[in-house]
Amino acid sequence: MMGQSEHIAEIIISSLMSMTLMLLMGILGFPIIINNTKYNKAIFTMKAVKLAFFWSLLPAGLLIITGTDFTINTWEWFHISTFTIYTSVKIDYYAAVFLPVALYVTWSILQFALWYMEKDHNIDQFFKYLLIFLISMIILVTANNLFQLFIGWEGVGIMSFLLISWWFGRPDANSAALQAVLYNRTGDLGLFVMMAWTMTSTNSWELDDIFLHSQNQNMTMPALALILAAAGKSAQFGLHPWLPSAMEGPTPVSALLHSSTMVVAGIFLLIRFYPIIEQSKTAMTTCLWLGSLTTLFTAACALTQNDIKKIIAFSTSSQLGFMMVTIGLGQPRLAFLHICTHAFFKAMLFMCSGVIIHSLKNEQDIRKMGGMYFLTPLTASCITLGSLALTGTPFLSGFYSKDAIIETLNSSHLNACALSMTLIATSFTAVYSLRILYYVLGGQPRFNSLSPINENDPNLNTSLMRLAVGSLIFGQLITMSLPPKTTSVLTMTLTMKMTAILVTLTGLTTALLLTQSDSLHKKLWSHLPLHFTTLLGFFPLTIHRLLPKLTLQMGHLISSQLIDQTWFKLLGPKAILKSSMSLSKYINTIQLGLIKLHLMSFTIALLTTAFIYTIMT
Amino acid sequence: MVNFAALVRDHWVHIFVPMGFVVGYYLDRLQDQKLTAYRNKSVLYARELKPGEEVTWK
Amino acid sequence: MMKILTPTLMLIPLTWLSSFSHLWRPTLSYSFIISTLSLTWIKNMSETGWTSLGLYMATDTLSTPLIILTCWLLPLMILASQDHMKTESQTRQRLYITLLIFLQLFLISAFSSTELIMFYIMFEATLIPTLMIITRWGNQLERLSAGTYLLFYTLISSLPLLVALLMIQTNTGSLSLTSAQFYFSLIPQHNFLWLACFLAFLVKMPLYGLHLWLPKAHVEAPIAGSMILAAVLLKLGGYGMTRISTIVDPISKNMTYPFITLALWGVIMTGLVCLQQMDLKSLIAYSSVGHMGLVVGGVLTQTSWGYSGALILMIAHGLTSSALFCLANINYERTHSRIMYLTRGLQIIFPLMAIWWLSFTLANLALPPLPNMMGELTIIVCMFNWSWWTIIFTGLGTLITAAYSLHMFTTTQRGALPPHITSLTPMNIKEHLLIILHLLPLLLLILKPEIITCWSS
Repeated sequence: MMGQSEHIAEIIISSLMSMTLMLLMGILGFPIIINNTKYNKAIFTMKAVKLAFFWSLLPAGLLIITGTDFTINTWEWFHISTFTIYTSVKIDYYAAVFLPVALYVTWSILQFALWYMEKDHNIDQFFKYLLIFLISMIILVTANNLFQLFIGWEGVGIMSFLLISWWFGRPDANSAALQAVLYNRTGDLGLFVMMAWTMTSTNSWELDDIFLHSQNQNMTMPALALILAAAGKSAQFGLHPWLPSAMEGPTPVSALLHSSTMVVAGIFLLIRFYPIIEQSKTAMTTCLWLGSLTTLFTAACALTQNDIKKIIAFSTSSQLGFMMVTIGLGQPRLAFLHICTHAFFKAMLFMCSGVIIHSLKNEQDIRKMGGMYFLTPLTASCITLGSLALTGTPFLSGFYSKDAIIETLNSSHLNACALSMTLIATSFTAVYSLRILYYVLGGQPRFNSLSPINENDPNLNTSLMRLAVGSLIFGQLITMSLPPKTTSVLTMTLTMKMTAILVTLTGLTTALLLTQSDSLHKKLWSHLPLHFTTLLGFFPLTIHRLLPKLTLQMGHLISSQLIDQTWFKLLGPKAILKSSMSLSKYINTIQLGLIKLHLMSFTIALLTTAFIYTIMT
Repeated sequence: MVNFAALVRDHWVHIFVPMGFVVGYYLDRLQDQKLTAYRNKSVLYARELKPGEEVTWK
Repeated sequence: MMKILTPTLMLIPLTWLSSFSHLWRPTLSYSFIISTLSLTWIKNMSETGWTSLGLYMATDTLSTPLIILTCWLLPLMILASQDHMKTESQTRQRLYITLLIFLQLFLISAFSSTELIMFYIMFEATLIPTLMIITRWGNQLERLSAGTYLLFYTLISSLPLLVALLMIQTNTGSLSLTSAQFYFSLIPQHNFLWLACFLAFLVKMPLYGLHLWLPKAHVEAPIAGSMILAAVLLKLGGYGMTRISTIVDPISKNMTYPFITLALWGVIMTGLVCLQQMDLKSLIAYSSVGHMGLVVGGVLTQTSWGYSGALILMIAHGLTSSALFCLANINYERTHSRIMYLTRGLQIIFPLMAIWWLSFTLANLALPPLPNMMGELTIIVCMFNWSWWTIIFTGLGTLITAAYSLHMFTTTQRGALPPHITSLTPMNIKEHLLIILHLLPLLLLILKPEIITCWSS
């Protein structure tokens, strides 16, 4: 009896889940489809997302209560010979937690965009783009099928292209958008390999089947392919330059796509496919190294940037590297936790930078700011809160994920070099956060005296405060309601326990001391390391020049001019032309129309024959 | 009446394509009959029609 | 079968006998009706063998999508060329439409014939109207040399096919596709026979290295010529290869190596050509060569995945590249230039048109879940299965495709508007309709891709 009632409850809950998701998609899809001019479409969209957020709390709540994952197979999409592609949806821990987080952040950002994009004529279209992006993200997160995941994956990539080049009159924005797509596509190669590999080895694209069939196989190739895919989307070292360039887009786009949702899709992919990654030691080590390299390098770049959005972008990149390290440590749950907590404060930081940029007439250079602490108090408090959460100040939301990760890192026996690089990067977090606060909030105003500083718009205030609340309590909330599945390290020495805070404090004090010496005009640094980080490791200068130039030159000189227009022509049509020309010339000489000569020779021949004939007979 | 004549003069060309369709339809039927007759002649498929049974190609 | 063919034939007297003021509308509407009628064949797609079997013609899962595509394209061609034919004389307009109708007639006959020799004749017959359309209505003087290229490349390569067919006929006494499985053991399997059978189609595809005629023909052809060439004529090659490979199957792996290599290498090389191309039509033409390279690869692996992927990609690419040519032509009719750098920043003046450009750029770079992606993915997977080194080429190919497609989009639509093109004629409803009619089937195919997956072969 007990079993049966449980079974019935399960059926009810799973159908409830599927209904929930359908309705969620309906709510989000509705503003895209309707074309009623009676309403303000932007506000309508924002409200739809708000509704969707509250609605998405239902699956999360069900998950917390029942503690089971749900997989819903709905529809056989199509067959290719014996291979069937389904649409199937998975609402497990990751999807159920990520959905409300993403919707909450999006809701705030849309409200912020109502204020930020107020003057834009195409604000409705902008909101629709953001909504389509959000839907692709939801498809990605809830996919239980490689093909479906791929749809969401490419969808977010293309929407990022459209949104980065929102102000399409600017060449910079266009090239940044193109750059983003190209780096993402490089990563997609990995996903192609993964899909081809699973088709060949497991004959299914359903995640469960893949995990089931891949038990006793050599998983190095698919795991590395997945890491490549994740590196492209999450801007890991080597494929990182697109993320800072993407800051050419409007600030709401940076806040939504390039901090909290799209860029974490790569890490999310690795979390989803963790059962595959963990089977290959090579892949785990690759994750660890790639992550630590990324986090250190981008944190170092963030130290010397002057564009406020670029600093935050590099900090995002650094945090993504940090999440990658966590995967390498074998803690996908912690990485996921960091994705969620990071979404709140990073989106908030971006929004704050948007407010400041807007207030100072599109000034992005932190050297030309200052004194904002007094002029925009709310933004200043939010930016401080965000920075504190980012550095992992105890009991703010960043603490719960970051501290746990660093504890695991300290107590693990993995590669010490990669781990210490990560620790150094962590200390840098404090330094660049301090730099923003010091330059933007403190000191004297260094901007024009007639700046339109105004932060009284209710849309702006509520959206900022909503994210601030999230940054304050979310970590606590999630850790309390859903405890991590792997046992956390319980005993460690005091120094080990305090490492995260100690490292951060060291960074902070060093930075403060340096700032002091800077104000005394002491020259501490030679220029080379400075140039190295300001010019982003000379990466864009070399790779972005060299590679396109080589490709284009190869296209022009070799494939177009040498092969197509010269050799193929010479070997094909020209060769026939030449051979038949010489032949026809030869034949021509015989037929020049010299009729007298021909007749004469004919007559002579005739006469000679007749003559010989008569003689012979 | 004049109107009708003008109508016919202007629009008589519209008869072509529907006519083509009708002709095509009959040609298809003709071919079906031929093929079925051929099939019914074969050793493998041929059989006597029951009294009152429709022809198979219909 | 005749239900479609005879009405198509009857379009010709309609074209010549209707009054001049009613020339375009009836032909357009009747060709639409015919294409709607042709959709009834989709219901046969659940059958595994031949359906709508006649004496010499039949359809199956491979040919049905292609026939429907052909029928679908005639009204679109008529719609697209209406504007630029305005200045021509009455007779020439009628002649032009007649040629297009003939093309459809030949193509349907080619796709549906069950006799290889009839397929061969129709395959060759399509050349005549194409040649006339290109050499008579092209824009530049180079159209003549383009016509020569088209004619000679295709003719020279297809003569061996004729010889091969005659040889098969003498050996087996039949060239019927419906009974191929009974007699193909009688065919002498020889590498040269294989080559002779495939060469004609490889040139028609075109395979990289034998492709010189294609960009020339595309660039010089009027819009209808480009459309039918990209959408259906190239697919004759893919169709022919799939068909003939059931007859000369199975062939040694050694024989396919050079061709698959060339095709994959072509994907990269044509992509590189596209990257630095300034001529819009030429860019689209070269991109067709690249995509067809993937189709060649898919067919030559001779697996059911390969055939499925090839067919999906052929249909999807047919609609996409035809639409891209239409878009290029719409620009050309306004700016009278194919050079991309002279027609920039059009999004500001033609915002709706920018959306069409975007949609087809995305289709060209294969965005899931569009059928383009399904086709490419299927082929990539089946090539990977064949040899995993191919992923380097196919992968790089998709990367380069994305690069040039978006480059094309960014250059023509984004950026500031140059001052010399500020006063252009606005878009017509007709032009929007033309593009929508390309987009609609592409989007609908997402919902049921099975009708183009050729699953029985």
